[in-house]
Amino acid sequence: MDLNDMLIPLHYDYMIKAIWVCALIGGVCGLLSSFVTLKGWSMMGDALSHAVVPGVAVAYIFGLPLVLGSFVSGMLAAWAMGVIKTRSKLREDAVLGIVFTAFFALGLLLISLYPARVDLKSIVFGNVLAISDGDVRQLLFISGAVLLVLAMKWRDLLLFCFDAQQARAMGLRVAWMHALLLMLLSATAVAALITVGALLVVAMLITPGATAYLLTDRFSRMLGISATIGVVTAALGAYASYFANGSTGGCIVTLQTIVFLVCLIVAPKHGLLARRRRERREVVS
Amino acid sequence: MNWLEPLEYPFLRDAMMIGSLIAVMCAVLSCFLVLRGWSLMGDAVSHSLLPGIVLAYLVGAPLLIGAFLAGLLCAVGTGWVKNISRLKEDTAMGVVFTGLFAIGLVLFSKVPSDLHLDHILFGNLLGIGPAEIREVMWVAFPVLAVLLLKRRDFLLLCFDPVQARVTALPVRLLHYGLLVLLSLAIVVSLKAVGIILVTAMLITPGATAFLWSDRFDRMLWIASATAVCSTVLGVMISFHSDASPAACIVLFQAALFALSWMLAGRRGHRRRENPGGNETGI
Amino acid sequence: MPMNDPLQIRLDVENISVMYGNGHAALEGASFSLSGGTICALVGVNGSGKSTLFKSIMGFVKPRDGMVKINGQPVREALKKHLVAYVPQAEEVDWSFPVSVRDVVMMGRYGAMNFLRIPRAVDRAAVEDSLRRVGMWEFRDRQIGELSGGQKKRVFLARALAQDGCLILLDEPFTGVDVSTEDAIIDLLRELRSEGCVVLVSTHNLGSVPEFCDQVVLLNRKVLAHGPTEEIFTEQNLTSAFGGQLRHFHFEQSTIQSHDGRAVKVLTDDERPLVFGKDGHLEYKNREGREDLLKKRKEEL
Repeated sequence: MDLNDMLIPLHYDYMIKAIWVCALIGGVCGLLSSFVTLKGWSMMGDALSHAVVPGVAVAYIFGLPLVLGSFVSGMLAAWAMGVIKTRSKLREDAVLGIVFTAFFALGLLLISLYPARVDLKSIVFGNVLAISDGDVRQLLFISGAVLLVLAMKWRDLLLFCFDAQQARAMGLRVAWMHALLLMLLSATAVAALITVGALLVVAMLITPGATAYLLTDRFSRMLGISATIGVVTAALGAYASYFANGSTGGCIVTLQTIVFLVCLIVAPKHGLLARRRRERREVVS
Repeated sequence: MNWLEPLEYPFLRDAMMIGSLIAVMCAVLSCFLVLRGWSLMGDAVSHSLLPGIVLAYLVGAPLLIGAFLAGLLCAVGTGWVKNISRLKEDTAMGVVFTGLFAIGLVLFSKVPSDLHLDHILFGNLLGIGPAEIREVMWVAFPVLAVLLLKRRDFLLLCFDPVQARVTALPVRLLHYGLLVLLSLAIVVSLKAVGIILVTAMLITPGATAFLWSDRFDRMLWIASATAVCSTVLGVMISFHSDASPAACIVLFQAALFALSWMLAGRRGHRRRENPGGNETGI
Repeated sequence: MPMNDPLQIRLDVENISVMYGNGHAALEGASFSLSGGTICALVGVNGSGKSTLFKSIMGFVKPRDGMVKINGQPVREALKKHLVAYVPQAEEVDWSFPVSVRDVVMMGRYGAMNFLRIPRAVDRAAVEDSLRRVGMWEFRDRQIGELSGGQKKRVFLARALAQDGCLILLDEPFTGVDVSTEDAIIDLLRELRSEGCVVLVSTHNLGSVPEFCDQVVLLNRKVLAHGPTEEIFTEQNLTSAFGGQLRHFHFEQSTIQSHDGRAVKVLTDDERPLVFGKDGHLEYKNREGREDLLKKRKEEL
C-alpha cells in the first residue's frame, strides 16, 4: 500500500467527520477513564454502558433525543444498583450484573418489538461512519458539558475517587460527587455508544485510564496521558476502520488494547521489564 | 388466545426443553460464581469468545473449540495482567475481555463468512436444530454432573481457599476446573441465548436463590427452579408477543430476583453482623 | 478414626527467605524448630513477616532459599497427611455464606474423605466430638453469620479439631473476642498442647503471651530470638523486635506516686494501658504539667 492509498480515507468527508468525532469522544472517555480506574469502578462503566441501551431504544422509538432517553435509563440503573446493594447481602459485582443484564434485556425486548424503528446493529456496534448531523450536534453538546464539568470539578472528583472519607471530612458533599460521577459516566456512555457501540464503550472507559496508571504516579499527568491515548487511538482507529469494512469500535479498542499491552511490558516504573530488572538487582545485591 | 398453544409446536417444545437444560446448568454455576465473587467473570468470558469463534471458522476447526480456547485465554490473561501490574482484578478483566472482543469484531468484519453475528450475540433459541440439541446435551450433562458431584470441593474453594489448600485439595485444579466448566457452559449456551444474555443466566438465578436460603444445597434447588420457570414462561411470552425469547427469559429472571429482594425480608437484607449478642464462655 | 500421631510432630523452619513481588524481602534467613506439646507465640509488628511465615508453613509461598519441613518432610507431604490446621482471622471469612456450623466443621474432614466428600459415620462422629468440645454442638444448624464473635471463633477452632491436625496455626485468635472466650480458647489450646500438638499463635497481643505460651518466636523479617518465653520475653528483646513502636512505662520514676522502690514496667505495642496504682489512683507516664497532682499526693501521704 503506498502513500496515496493510505490517504484515500481522508478524501471522504464522512471519514474526516468520523475521525474528529471519534477523537473528541475518545478524549472525553479517556479523561473519565482515569477517574474510573482510580475509583475502582471499571465494572460500573461496563454496567452503565449496557444499561443505557433501553433508553436509546425508547428514544429511537418515540423520536426523543438520544441523550435524554439514555441518560434517564443510565441513572435509573445506577439508582437500582445503589438501592439493592445497600439493602441486600449480595456482593456488589452480583448486583451490578443483575441490574445491567436486566436493563440490556429490556432494551433488546423493545428493539425486538419495534424492529422497524430501531437499528440494533448501530446500537450494539455504533455507526459513526454514517452519523447524522443531528447526532453530531448531540455529541458535541454532551462532550462540551462533560468537559466543562470536569474542568471545574476535577479536583473535587479526584479527592472523592482517592479518599471519599477525606472528601467528606473536608465538607464536600460525597453523595453529590458520587451522583455527579455517575451522571458524567452515563452521559459519556451514550456518546461512546454512538461511536463504538454499546459493547465496546466499556473499553473506552477503562483501557486508557488503566494504561495511564501504568505510566505515571501523578494524577494530573495521568489525566493528560489517558486523554491523549483516547484521542490518538480513536482518531487512528476511525481512520483504520476504512480498511476494515467499517468496524470502527473494533479498530479503536484493538488499538487501545495494543497500546495497553506495550505499556504493560515496557512502562518505565511499573512495567514487566522494569520489575524484572528490579528483582534481578535485588538478588545481585 | 390459547396460552398453551406453544406446546403444540415441536420447535417450541425443543426450545423450552433445551433452554431449560441450559438454564439449569447456568443456574448451578451461578450459585458458585455469586459466592466466589466471580459474577462478572461470565460477562468477561462470554465476550471474549468472539475472536475464538471467528478464528476457528477461518481454519475450519469446530467453533466450540475455538470459543472455548478464547474463553480460557481471557480467564488466564486476566490473572496474568493482574499479577504483573498494579491494576485491580476488575480493571484487568475489563481491559482483557474488551480487547479480545474488539479483535473478534475486527476479524469478523475482515473475514467473509456465513456466521450470523446476531445469532452469536443474541442467540437463536427458536431456530435451534437437532444437531445443536445433541451438542448442548453432550456438554451440559457432563458439566452438570461434575459440578454437582464435586460441589463440596467447589464450595470449600469459594468459602475458604486457605482451608482447601491446607487440607491438600487440588486448589489450582479446582480453580481452573471451575473456569473450564464456565467456559464450556457459555460456549454451548451461545446458540440459545447469545453472548450478552448468558451473563444474566450466570448471575441472576444464583443471586435470587442466595436471598432465600442459608444452605447451599437448597440454594442450588431454588436457583435451578427459578431458571426453569423463567425459561418456560419466557419462551411462552416471546411466542405470544413476538419478542426476543432470550430477552424475555432474562427479564423473567430479573423479575423473580426483584420479587425475592422485596419479599425475602429479614433473611435477604444486609450482610449479617454479629446478631448473636452476648458472649458465653466455652 | 485415622489418628495422626501428635507425639511425633515437629516443625523445622530452616533458613527461609521470601521475596515480595516488588523485590523486597518479606523474610530473611528465618530459622527455628518446634516439636510436640508446645504453644508458641509468633510475635512481631505488622509487616514483620508473620503472615508470610504462616503462608510458608502452609505451602502458599515458596521460599527463595531454605525450606520448611514438617516431621522432616516437605510441606506438600504434610498437607497431604492433613497434619496442618489453620484458624483464620474473622475478617477473612464471608459470614453471609450459605453454610451451617456443621458444614463448616465438616470441611475440616475433607482431606480425609473420599473423592465425592460424602461424610461417613467416622466423619460425623469427629464433627460432633469437636463441636461438643468447643461447646457449640447446640448451634450446629445455625447459619454461620448468626453467631457472635466468640462463637464464630470457636466454630473454626472446632474445624481445626475435626481435621485432627497436630500443627495448628492461629492467626490473631483474640481480636474481636471477649475476655471469657479468650480464656476458653486458651484452655482449649492448653489441652491440645498436653495432647502433644504444636500450636503456633500469631499475635501482637503481648500481654497474653506469657499467660499461655511456653515458647516465643520474635520476628522482624529475621528471627530475632526464639526459645522459652521466660528467656525470650525480655525488655531488651521486645524493644529490638518492636523498635519505636513499643510504649514503655517505667513507673518507678515517672509516676506521681511513690512506689517504695518496687519498680513496675509496662510494655505495650498496641494501645496505652490504663494503669491504676496504689489506692486506685491513676498512674501517669509523664510528670510534667501535673505538679499540682504531685503536691496533692504528697499531702495525702
